[in-house]
Amino acid sequence: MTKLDKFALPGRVDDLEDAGARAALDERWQKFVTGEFDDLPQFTQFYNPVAADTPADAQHRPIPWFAFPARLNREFTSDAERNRFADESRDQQDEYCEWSVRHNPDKSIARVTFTTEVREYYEQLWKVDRNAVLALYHEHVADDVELGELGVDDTYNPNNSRNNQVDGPIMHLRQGSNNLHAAIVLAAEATVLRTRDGVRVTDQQDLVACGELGNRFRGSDPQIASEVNGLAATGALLTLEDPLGIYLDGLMPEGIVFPPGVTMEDCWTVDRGTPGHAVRAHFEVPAGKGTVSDVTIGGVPVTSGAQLAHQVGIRLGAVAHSIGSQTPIERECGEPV
Amino acid sequence: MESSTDLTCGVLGTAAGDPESLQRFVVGRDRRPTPLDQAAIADLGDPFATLLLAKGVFPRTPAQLLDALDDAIGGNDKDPLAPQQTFVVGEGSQLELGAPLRGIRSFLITRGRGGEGPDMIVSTRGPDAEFIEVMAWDRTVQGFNYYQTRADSPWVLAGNSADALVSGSAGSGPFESHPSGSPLMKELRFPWVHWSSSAAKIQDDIAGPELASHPWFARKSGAQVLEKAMMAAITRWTSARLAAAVAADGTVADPGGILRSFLDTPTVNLVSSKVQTSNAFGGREDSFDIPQAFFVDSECLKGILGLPSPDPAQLTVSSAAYRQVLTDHGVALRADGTTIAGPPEDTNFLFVVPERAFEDVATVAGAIEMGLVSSRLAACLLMVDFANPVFSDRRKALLGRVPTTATIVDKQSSFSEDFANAILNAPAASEEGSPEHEFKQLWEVGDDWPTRFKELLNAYYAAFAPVLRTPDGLERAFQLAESRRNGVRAMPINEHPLLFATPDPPLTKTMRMQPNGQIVEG
Repeated sequence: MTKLDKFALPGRVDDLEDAGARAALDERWQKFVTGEFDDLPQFTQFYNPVAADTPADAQHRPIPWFAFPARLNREFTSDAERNRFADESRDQQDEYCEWSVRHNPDKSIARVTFTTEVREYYEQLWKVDRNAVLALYHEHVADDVELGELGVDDTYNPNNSRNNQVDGPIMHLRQGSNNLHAAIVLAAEATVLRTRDGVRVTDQQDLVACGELGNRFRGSDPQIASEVNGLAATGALLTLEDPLGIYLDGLMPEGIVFPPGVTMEDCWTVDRGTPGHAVRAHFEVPAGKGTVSDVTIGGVPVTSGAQLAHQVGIRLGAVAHSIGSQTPIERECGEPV
Repeated sequence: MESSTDLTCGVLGTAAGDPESLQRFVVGRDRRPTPLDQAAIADLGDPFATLLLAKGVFPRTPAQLLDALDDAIGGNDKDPLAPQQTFVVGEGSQLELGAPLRGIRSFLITRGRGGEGPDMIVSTRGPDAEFIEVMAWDRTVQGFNYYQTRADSPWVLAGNSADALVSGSAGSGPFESHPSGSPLMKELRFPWVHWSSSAAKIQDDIAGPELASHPWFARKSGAQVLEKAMMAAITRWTSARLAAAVAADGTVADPGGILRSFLDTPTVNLVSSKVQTSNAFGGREDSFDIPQAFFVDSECLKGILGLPSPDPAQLTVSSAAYRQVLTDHGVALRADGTTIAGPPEDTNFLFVVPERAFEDVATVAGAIEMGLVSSRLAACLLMVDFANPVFSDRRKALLGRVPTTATIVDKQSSFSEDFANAILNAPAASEEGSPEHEFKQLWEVGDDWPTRFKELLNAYYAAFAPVLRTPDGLERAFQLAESRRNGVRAMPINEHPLLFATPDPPLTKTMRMQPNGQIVEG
């Protein structure tokens, strides 16, 4: 039985060379995440792994979904239409993953960038070393980004124009629902067993609606809610995996056909994060071997980033232990805890 | 053993003998199971045979099989066969707690990932189950080799995908349920009713405490992943099948077999509304979508030929009105004479209906790509009785007109003209109301077919949408759905009583949709 020493940074990224600045960032991150847990004491099965023990034999449950916004499956009857719509606005990309497409002059696709980096990290980094944030924008977005475009004084603007593109590089998540706070609160609230007229609600869409746990037509919210709720029903103690974050779970290869001599490994590159905890990646065909539009998925040439988003896995990790030790909280639909 | 007259998959269970052996029994072709010696096993080109059977490893449980495979690849996680994914299906398994007869019907475990899908697919009830089915891609002859074993019986090689297309073994043994030799995932499309998926998860309590913590269940992947894997695997076999159908001199073997995918319904996939019954009937969804494939073959007409599909608004019907229809018909989930839920009740996602199977969609696309069938011919064939995208006797009648020979040279073939002429020259082509006459009218549109067919489809969509909003229209839509479900109930893929909800009394009428949006008997 051990307590977590401290919350690691999402993806265990390391953006600061100065040890003092790094320590300051770690402290800020610790305070931020602990604050998130401390705000949720009413959810008695959900605990802060820095404050309470997690045994070595705890179950680790990856909760997977895809980057493509599942709710668009309802709103369109053709793949081409829903893919175009998803590409056109970051506001539509609400599965804790956002992407942008960079085109070649001939309109073929040069690169698609995916990110699951949460704005909270950039907000904390900005407070410690805004030049480090600027350096990341220079490295990943454009070398002409200026500090004044990103924030004012102590306040970082995650919706800055350089991070709000659909055609060109982006830095991190910006859509309103895509943040770490939302994921932590959702996981905590999902520990409450929900009933309607005394009958437990278990199906995913209904559970999300009944417990007011987000958008029931997304891929992410029902998955997180259902998995956590199912674990909570066993009377387990629950938390989220360290490093706490939303992760890119790779590109599902099934159905993807590459130009001759090109492999998946040639095209999918993790830009930020550590093995198993990627938070930024891009898809690009090596120079001289074609473009992304020469790749086909299910026999259809890639003309949108959304086609790849259908194949990009996203993951949040839950941890459960001490099954049967807790009495789950039960509430009727809509009833607060 | 006497020669078998039983052509079902069940006859494979009659294989007896040393469990540490492999017998070949291609039902419909082999008279009885025949032991295969080491040389014959060594000729097999799939990883199950080469890595295990040829080395004398005959696992007795699925867990042993997967462990043996890990041993065979030396625990190398970079080996193409190392990636393993587990999927879970169970009819009714996502319904409310406490209902009996729900449960996990099958685990599907895939090994290998890539653009062409998995190299091995294992289907079984659990890690220690006695009945195991394996499909493994044979790189030598192409196609999946089908294996199975039960309890202490020998392993049986039940054929290769290609045997599904050969007279005798076609439709027999495993090819009852795999008529083109492709892997099968009935509920292939979102929201994958019956599969644990991102749209509806099978909860731990269904698995039971022991299985729930087993890695197969605890780390299961969703059907949204399996969909891609199966589509890739189906495409892999379809491509191999079509490539093998053309001889070096361009002669196409059995063009009628290929055209069956255009004109018949050899098998189906099942598709449903995206709305859960509990939400529709619980007052949380005022309306729901009927799957567009109920009205039109959108996969082929839109996906391949670029013709229009209905707008979402045209597919939307009242939840309350539909609930009333189910009430009127006593529709409930029933199994083995027991009513489990309802009436009224429907499957977890509403309105499950058959659609053209993806293996047939892939064949249609492949036949056009290879130059056998022109887009114009494909469109004209598929537009015959287009309001009935599956189980159309009218389209099926045209199968009798398919030329018996065809050649393709440099992706050019006279087959489309030959087939069209065979229909046009038939006496029936001048008989008003015949399928041949309907084809003739479509063919005579000529090269402007995209414009004219778009008009026909849009007129149809505009016609049925208001009909669905009337009580009688929705009642008839239900009857049409039941009529098509009856077609599925008669298929070998009907493996579980909770596949569909059922009315009481059952409806036996055959219904059909008309291009004017009216649904009639006949």
